[in-house]
Amino acid sequence: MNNLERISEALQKGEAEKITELVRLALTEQRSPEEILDNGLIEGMNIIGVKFKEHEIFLPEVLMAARAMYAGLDVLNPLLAQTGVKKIGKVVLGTVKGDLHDIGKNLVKMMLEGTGFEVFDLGVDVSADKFIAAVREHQPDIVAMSALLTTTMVFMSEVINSLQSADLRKKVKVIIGGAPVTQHYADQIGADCYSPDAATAAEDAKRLIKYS
Amino acid sequence: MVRVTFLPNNENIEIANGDSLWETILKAGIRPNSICGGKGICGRCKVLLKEGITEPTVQETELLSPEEIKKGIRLACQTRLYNNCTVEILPENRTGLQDIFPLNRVDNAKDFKSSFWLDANVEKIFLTVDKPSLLDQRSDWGRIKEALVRKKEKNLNYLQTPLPLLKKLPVLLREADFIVTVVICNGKITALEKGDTADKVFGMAFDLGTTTVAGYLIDLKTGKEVSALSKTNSQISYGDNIISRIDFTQNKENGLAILQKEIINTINELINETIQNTGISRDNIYEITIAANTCIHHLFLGIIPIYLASSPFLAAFNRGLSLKAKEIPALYLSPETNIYMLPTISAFIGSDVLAGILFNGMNDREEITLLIDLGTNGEVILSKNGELWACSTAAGPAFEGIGISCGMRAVEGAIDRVKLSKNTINRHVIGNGNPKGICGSGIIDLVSDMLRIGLIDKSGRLMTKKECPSGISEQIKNRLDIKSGENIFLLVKENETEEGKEIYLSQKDIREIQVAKAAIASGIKILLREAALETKDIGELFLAGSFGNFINIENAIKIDLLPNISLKRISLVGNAAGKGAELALCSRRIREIGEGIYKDVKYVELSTHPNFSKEFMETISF
Repeated sequence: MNNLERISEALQKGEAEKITELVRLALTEQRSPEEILDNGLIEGMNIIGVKFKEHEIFLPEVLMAARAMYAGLDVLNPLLAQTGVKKIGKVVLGTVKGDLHDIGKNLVKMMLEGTGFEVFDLGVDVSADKFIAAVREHQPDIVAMSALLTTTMVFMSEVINSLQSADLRKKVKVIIGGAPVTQHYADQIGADCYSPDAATAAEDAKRLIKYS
Repeated sequence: MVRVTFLPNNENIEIANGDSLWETILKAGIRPNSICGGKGICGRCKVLLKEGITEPTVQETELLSPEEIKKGIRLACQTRLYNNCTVEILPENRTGLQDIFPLNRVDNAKDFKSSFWLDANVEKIFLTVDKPSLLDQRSDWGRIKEALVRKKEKNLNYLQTPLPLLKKLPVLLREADFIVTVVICNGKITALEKGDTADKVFGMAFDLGTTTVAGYLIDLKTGKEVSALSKTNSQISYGDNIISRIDFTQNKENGLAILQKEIINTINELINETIQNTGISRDNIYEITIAANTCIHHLFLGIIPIYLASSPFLAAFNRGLSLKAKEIPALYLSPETNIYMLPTISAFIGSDVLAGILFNGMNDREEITLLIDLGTNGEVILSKNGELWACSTAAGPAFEGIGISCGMRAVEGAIDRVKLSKNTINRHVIGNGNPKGICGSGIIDLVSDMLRIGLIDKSGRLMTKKECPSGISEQIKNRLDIKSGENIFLLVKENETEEGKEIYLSQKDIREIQVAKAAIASGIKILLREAALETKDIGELFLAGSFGNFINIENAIKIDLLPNISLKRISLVGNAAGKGAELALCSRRIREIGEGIYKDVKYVELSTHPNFSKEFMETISF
């Protein structure tokens, strides 16, 4: 097993300290930061995503893995900035107005970051105005919205309408998700994509910006 | 027009072209299963079309298997009818609405801890009124009042008499030959009855839950519980959770009126059944008290509930409310019957919780007490020297057997107890017949035992056959299997079940249980911290909920659903909300206490609590 595989494995086990060590070790082996990111950290996060989707692992293990991923990123980020490696895309993310659920949304954030996106997390109970302001400010490729209640998912359509009237709709792709959301609902309100879980959301995001 | 024939009874109903089958079914008085309330999300309202089979919709192709679609199975809520058709609603897809269950009855005098509990708001006084003559020309009302003063030896000038009663008075008094019984309620004379009926004073207490409604008939002279019945809330066909129902009032024309009618119908059916069983006259029920979660409370009163469900989560009002039966449409009680709605605490903490606090006397206990109501909302209440904290944990319905592959409510056919060891497996089925599914208490037993023998690890992962720890017999090991790509534990083989379908627990089910128990456990931890207390400080823990009676407490502690305290300090209190409503019916003093404390209960909002995510993640493993 090479050190990149070890990084992926340590990430899956949530061993943050070991990751820091292994990433440093890999750098001394003259591996590029991009290679370590892609074949170590992102590789591990992808496996975590699949296992979570299949119920094999659960929230705590995903969070541990995410913590380990961030530990690795802490070492790599300064180097990646130096070499001028760009994030693969930008996402504005939030739970819609009236809804305070954030665990699912945070998972999506981790998976997106693990996949190489820059994520602007607006938090929970985010109004359409706040989404619009964030889109203007950050000029993201994707707007991702979460809702856990049937009573609050209606605000997703409000955000899409606001994007339309602010003439921003064509500039972004919209992903929606959350327990009551369906493909049918996404079609109905004119979202570009419905993602049933966090791992799929990251895959969908890549697909939407045509990054492969 | 389109003609719809329902099997097996061959009932016909005619509807307009293009009407929805879902609404037609509801009109026919049949209650299909539903979680989402007819939005094409849950896939529960399956029907078998025998004639006039429709093209499957997008939702149907997503939610039904190709075989089902081929057989003619459709979702009622997705089907619009343009041709005559014949429909069979499969038995497993009906909710058991005809089922009125008797509840265990208790001796209130023994059960109610307060010494002042019998102090009813209704009083009946038998009077022999002086007959009038030319020498005694006092008015009809004047002579009744004098007879009352004579009997009660106190000034009754405050007594008001409503006009409807005064209208009846002259004729009634003479028909009764001046021998009458006066009914006093809320400090007013509310009825006058012929003859001596003073021993017939009854009231009913109701607990209106999202899933179940319980109704208790109480003899207000003695405080004795005469009858106790429960019934499924008929609103369930519009969604099995509060959010779906709130949604229905928002998105459906007349949605609010429909849901109000359904809850009133449910209450009416309980009243009718109670009257039939006991032979007591409807006119002798003078007052009812109602405890309910805040959403059902609003729906019963016809108040729009939508602001309960989105931030910042507000009720229309919280205080206690007295009204007359005639103010509620089509409530089948005498128009003047008094209705007392107990105060609610917040949008998520209803009067059912307040009733539970009152029943357990948590407001004036010196020791630290904790009340856990294991329902869909899983409320937790903590008391310390009369100070009260409450939170609602959104535990979900997993412990009610809902959302679990083979889960069901704790009714006949449910596996309610399981004992699993390395070599053997034993189970108990409610009603002792063949099992149909597993209910909350059975799930708790099973998960606890699987953890103990190592079939589930601490993280909640279900072992595969390969990973099965050594020392487990082949018989048990072979129950670890794969179904539709997912690891499962087979509990009952298909040939031993009532419906010929195997009963199992899947990896996903275990995840659902983990979420539910972590929600409750983290709620408990956060409340304890708010009060600067620790688990060991809990003096007494009351476990309430209609399924709380069957639960194996030791196993509930083992899976970390309940805090690890001595079993002696945990008591099962059954339907504490219903008992609290009874108490409020029997005692004006208790109502005063409730009115006094509802504002002081500190509601802790978990969803924005800084420690919630951390506690939740810490309690989600076993």
